[in-house]
Amino acid sequence: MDLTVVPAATEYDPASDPAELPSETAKGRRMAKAESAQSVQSLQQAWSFERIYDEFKTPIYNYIYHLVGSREQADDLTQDTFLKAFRALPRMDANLKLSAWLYRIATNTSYDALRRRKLIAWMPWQDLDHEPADVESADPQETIGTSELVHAALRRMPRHYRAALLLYTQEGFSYAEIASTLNIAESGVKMYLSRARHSFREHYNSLEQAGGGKK
Amino acid sequence: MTCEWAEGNLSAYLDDALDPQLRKDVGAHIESCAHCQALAEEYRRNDQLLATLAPVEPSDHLRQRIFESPTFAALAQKLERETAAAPPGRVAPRRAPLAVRALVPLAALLTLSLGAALLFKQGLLPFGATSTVQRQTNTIGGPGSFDLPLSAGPRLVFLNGAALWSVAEYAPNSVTNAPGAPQRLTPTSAHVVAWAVSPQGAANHDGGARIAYVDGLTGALHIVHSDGQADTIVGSVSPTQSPGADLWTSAAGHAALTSLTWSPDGSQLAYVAATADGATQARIVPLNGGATLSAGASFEAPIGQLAWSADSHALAFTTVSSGTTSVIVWRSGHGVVTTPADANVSQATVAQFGWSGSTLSWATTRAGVIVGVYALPGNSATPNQLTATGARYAAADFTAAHGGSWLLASNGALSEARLASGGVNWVANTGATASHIAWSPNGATAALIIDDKLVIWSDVSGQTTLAQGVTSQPVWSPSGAQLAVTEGQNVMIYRISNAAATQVERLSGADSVLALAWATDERNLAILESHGMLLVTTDGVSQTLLTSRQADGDALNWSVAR
Repeated sequence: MDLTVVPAATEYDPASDPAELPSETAKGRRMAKAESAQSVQSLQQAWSFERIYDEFKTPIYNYIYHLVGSREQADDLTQDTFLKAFRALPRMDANLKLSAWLYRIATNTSYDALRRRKLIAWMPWQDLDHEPADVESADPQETIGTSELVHAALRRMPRHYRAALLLYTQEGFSYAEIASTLNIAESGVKMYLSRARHSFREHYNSLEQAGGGKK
Repeated sequence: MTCEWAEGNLSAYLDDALDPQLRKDVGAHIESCAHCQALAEEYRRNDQLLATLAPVEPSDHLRQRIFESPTFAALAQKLERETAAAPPGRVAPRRAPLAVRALVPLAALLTLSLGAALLFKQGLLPFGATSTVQRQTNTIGGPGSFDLPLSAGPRLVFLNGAALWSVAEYAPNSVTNAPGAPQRLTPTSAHVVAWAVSPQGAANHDGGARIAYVDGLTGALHIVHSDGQADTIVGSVSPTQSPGADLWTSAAGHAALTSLTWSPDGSQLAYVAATADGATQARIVPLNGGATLSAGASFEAPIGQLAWSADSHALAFTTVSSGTTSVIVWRSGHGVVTTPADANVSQATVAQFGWSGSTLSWATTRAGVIVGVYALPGNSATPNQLTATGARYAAADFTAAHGGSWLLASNGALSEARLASGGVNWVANTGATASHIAWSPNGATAALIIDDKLVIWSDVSGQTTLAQGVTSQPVWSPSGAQLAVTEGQNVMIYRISNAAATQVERLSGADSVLALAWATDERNLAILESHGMLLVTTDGVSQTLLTSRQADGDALNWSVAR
């Protein structure tokens, strides 16, 4: 669902929002009446930030978690994603498609973290031209059960394909939405998903054969 | 129409994203080809696997982290300011609550010099007097918060989001010796503004290290075991139970926040308490549960630079008043000696203390230059000056080895001042003058920064240049067998033997390194970057990104849990 966010500069009335109003709204209004005119607006701003968080925390957190494969890092990156979004939101156009925009921030934030993880690698002193080992690869022997296999296979995929596949299968995004989120052409989505499915199948099957799926 | 062609279109076919004619052709091929049928089935099954992965719920703590973060507070303030600025003539907006932790950097900026007369408040509390502080043990953890005790073994401790966190160097049950995930050490109610880990070989019955911290909301001084258990309030650095920004931004509050100092044997914790009249007092908490001791009177000018003697029986500290720094030495059972830090150079402050047995030594500095080195034997009230009056040095460091020795750099040379023999002796020419000196922990070797080179020196082996383009100060491992330093985006680890490097590892891609901290077993090096924290094994085999979030401040430390 896409929410339309009203920029901070205009008066935002939660009551006129066509979306469902949770019970927090009433509380927000009561508090707002007791405060000065400026506080009304800032409270509403805070309220809308909290509502955005509540609306999207679970899907964004899951998306990031499946992209980076670690809950602790997903915590950090989810925090970064929402804070980046909150900072940028007041400057955004009123027609912003909030959902795709949040996923785009989440994707870029996660890519940055994954890129850094790749950059940092030990190199033997005498042999500095060597390719760094992918120390993030999970040990197939440690993975058991289907969902662990799925996670392990996801971790081994190139991150762009992983993101496209997650957005399609988990988030139910259309090709157009994936294109907008990943900032690629719509025709590129077809290729991404084709390679993603191929890559996932290869890794999943090889992990399964390595004995991970016994249980 | 080959299988290869069909496979290339299979994904889009399943998504119904092909032109009608192409869709028909691909469909026809799949109908007639068992291989492609099986592949299509597998793709569908895999999509299903991904679609039905059980969702993970973010913790409630994450919401708190976001909406109570300094970033969010700053954003809320900014929006309020903008809103207030837009229509002129309106009332000023209500201030967003400021996290106490945001005040700490502010406090750090405060200059310590108050210009107030140095007043000994004799009689307020006699030297060595005891004050009674209620000890109170908190129960933290419990369902839904965090599991205690934290696992045994070496643990990295750092501050993040005004809470102390701890990471096991080796996660329990990990076959690969991978580190654990960061675990919260302090309760969510606490707002940690200062902390210190007790040293290794601590004189505790269980041998585990203790962590002292100050809760900024209450001013209470806590001591908690490294495994997160037995969080106990042992005192307070604040005169009130709800200290505000006015305390933490005052010189006395700053003195308190920078004061936590464990004795070398880990049996006592020294700290500075701000008193009700704005003064400061050094206090000593014995770990054995005895009464808190005040190390001397309270001082109107804030005290700092606490330094324990090696035997943990004496404590030195400084206080600065009207630009004059005084050295105060408290000796258990012997009261206090006070002496000017440098009687020859006005405005000189203490750069570094060093203890050798019962002798306290210190180097004084003015405008970044070492201007004097002094020694005060245990039975004396007047310090001896070891360096010649008027001599100036670019760098100095003290080791308790060799009976207590200062290594000094000046005029392209190294010289040494030994407490036992007195005087300063030339030991080596270094070409350019070293700008930084770091003795290895056992005093066998010294690391020098000369221009942008890292050089190691020992009186036996002479000098060896290890690296150029060095961008940080070198950090010795606890045994002195390894040395870590930053070279731009590289972190270098040198294995040192007989003042020469026998092996080097290079970690590339490190970014804006703020701190390096050796694990107590020297098998891992923790690297604090401006936007994350890494743990790397020193054999170069693996590295783990502990968090992509920056710690508060630039302090990292290791503790050992039993």
